[in-house]
Amino acid sequence: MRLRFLATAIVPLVALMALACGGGAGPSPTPPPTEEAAPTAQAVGFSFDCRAPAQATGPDAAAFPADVTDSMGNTVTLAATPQRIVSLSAGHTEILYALGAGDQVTAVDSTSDCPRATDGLPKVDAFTPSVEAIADLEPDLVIIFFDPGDLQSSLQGLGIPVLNLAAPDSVQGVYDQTALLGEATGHAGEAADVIAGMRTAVEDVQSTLADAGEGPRVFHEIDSSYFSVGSGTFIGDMYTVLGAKNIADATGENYPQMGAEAIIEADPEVIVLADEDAGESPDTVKARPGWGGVSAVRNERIYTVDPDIVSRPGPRLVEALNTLAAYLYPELFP
Amino acid sequence: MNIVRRAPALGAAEPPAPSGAGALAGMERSLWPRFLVAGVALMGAIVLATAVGPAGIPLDATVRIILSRLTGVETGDSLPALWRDIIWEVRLPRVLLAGLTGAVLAMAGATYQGVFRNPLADPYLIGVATGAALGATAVIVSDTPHSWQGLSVLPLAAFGGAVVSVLLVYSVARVGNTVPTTTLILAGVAVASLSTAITSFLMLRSTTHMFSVLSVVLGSFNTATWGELTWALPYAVPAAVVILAHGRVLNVLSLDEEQARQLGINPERTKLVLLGVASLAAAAAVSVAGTIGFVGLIVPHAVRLIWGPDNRQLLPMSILFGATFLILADLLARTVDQPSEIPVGIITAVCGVPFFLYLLRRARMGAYW
Amino acid sequence: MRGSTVEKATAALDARGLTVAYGPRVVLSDVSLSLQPGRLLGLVGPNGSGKTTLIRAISGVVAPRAGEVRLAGDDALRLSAREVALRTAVVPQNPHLPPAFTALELVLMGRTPHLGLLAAEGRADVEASRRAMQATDTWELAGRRIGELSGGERQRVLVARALAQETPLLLLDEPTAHLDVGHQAATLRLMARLCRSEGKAVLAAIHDLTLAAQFCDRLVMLHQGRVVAEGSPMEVLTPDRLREVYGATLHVLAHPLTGRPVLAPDGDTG
Repeated sequence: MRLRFLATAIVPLVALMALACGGGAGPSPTPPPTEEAAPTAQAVGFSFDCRAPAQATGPDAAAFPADVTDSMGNTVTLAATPQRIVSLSAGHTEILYALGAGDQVTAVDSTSDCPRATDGLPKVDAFTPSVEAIADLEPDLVIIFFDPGDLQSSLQGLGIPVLNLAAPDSVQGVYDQTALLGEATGHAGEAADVIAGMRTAVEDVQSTLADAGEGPRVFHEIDSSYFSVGSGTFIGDMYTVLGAKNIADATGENYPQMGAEAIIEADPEVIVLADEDAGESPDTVKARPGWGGVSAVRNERIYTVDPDIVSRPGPRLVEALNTLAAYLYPELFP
Repeated sequence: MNIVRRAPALGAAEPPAPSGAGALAGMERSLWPRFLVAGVALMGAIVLATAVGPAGIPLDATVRIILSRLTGVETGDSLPALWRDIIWEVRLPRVLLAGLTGAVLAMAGATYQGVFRNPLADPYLIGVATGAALGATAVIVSDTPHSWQGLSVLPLAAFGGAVVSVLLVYSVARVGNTVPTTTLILAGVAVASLSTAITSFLMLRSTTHMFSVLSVVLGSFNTATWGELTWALPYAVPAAVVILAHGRVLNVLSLDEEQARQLGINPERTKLVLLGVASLAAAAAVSVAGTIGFVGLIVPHAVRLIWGPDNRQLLPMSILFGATFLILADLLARTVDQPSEIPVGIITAVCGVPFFLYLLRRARMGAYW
Repeated sequence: MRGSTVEKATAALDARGLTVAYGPRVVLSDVSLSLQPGRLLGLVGPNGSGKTTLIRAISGVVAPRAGEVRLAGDDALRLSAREVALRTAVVPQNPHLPPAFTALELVLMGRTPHLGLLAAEGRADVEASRRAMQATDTWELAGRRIGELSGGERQRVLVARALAQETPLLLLDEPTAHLDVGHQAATLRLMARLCRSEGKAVLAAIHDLTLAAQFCDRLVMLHQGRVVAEGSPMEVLTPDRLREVYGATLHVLAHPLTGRPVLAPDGDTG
């Protein structure tokens, strides 16, 4: 009976954990080379606001038919411009809208809540999807970030092209997938602009940091039992870009559970709370017994961040980067 | 005077069973030496676990810090505050909580095995684990703040879930004034399956919380505090007192209920009392530690294999060994892959099961159950 | 002897109008019997006639639907389990026995009603157990585990346990079923001696009618949950009754020394 409980609970949990956090479940993506368009990129002040109305631009029909290869190595042939896209990945939904492909999106999954334009769209479940429900929407392209079991093959069996794009595990990964989605939706030009805009914003941040010297030690908490992220993850990569020293790197794992003692001993100078629940705040961290001597606690450098902006690799990475930069280097980013 | 046997079951060749007066002389033996040995082992485990950890604090520093806290004499103030915080606020409560949990789970497991007369019984048989997991998961996925007016909500929810689950099992199994043991087990399985199904459903609906839920399910002492220790103690200690007092009675109950009654025991009342306090203590342990498996099942069997089935020594020895086992398992959980943690439930399974299989091969079933 | 001043000895066991049912199935119907101290009463009857149920009802394991049971004058239903256990000890027919306990540990469990919750066995308890085991020829088995004993050895250990309980009334459910001929006689002889010398009252359900006839003062025969006969062995074991109750043709002979009934099956070997 215990075994039965473990089997029913652990297997989906572990499967979800391994895949949902996108820890490189599939082979490394082989994206098409990023198009280096002539410098028409609007580089200044790139931003992506969930609340802003989506501005769609017309897709470039001449780009089709096109062959696109996803993270699993599957190549999908798109005969014509996809006009009924179903996105089962919150991060990729944001990328689609950032590319101006919003009008081509028919339905999204229940976690895709940004931008606002998705509110009125039909919602599908990403973790326990119904092939029927998806097929019923008559999509001409489905984007997923993990396959709970034969979803891709079932849909492709019905003649629906599916792109399985593993959630990017680095900033560069976001650029690559933005380019890929640009190809897939006929917005290659916009993709180039968006990428250039993000790149410039990132470089701006990095140049400001150039004089900062050594970065602070940071502990990024994603769960109140002290789970953290390593450098092989998207969040971890952002910390690397920002020059911070992520104390979770000592474990060599992507989603380690850090021992309380180890955290205290590593003495982080900054603590970033991205717990998915409402429970943790700077006050609760300060109240943790034994944490009183930690630099971050003493100097009141405990910050909360909206978990969505750091765990959805996409256009909001600029916002995330700037937010984290301000936490890490308050004197440089007032 | 206690009529207890030598440790018979592990020898390569068993000495011929003494007969008659020889049996008596050979069997009269005090229990205290073995309690002492087990107690010393427990102390050793506590010292070892408190002295070792990712922070690399030297042993003499550890001792000075603990002594200064206990006696109020400040011998530790030349040591870094970091060390004092780690030893006193992080490591020591964690070690003691692991010990308490191990003791409670092993004691509850031995009690359940005696009451149900079933070697497969563990403290989760009638719904404590699945109920606690459901209660905790419900709180986690509902985004309720984990702290409400200074009280930690999660252990309360887990405890409540466990208690409700056991009460449900009991009321389903009850027939008039009696609770037949077979019906109790079946009702326990049924309610546990239902709880598991609901818990799985909640987890799938809210996958962002999976780390928290996993911590509850596999068990972890990573966030142990003195507060959690004082929360669990009022359930654990009275339960231990009641259960230890019933050692001889549990022996009689393990015959069957008909014989127990004919020997002067009221089986229904005894069952209710023993299962009630054991379940309460187990619920309290699970609510602060998560559902750690194998301890409640295996430790009593290991003790039986070595020292026999008499509950008067089985119960206290299970308490001492359960505590020692879980303290050492938790030590491994936080040092083997440091600085990251392995869920302690995995360690108990990986270490406990092979050791138990080894013991089993050296003994015959009828020799110890 | 002046009858008016003679006090009738309180019956060790007095059952009146016992009716026991398991759900809709009535197993005992209006059974009455009484047993004086110092008497060995044999309970006989075919399989399923209710002998075990009667013993269960007397020892308080099942509650009767009607009737009453008095142990030394006290209403058994009003007594606690411990009080009942101080008055009557049972040797069950096929009890579950954890194989790892030793024979001595099992016999010591017979001392349970004499011990308080926290008490451990003392010298007196060990002495009582030793005496009981010597009387049943099981003292040599003291250190052996139950799982290693033969059926007969186990049965004698159970008798020892009941003896160690030191009760005025003993209820035995097929105490000789697994025993060899020698031990069968020895066990019943022991029971008879306990009755005579210590004044115990013993009710023994016995399968073997001849054996019952040799050692019991009186017999009670059950058939389909009712008492169909009660009296001396010669009165109870008549060929007609045996044919009616057991559906068998049996010859009743007389023991050459005691004159008690000895039963022999019909000579027809088919």
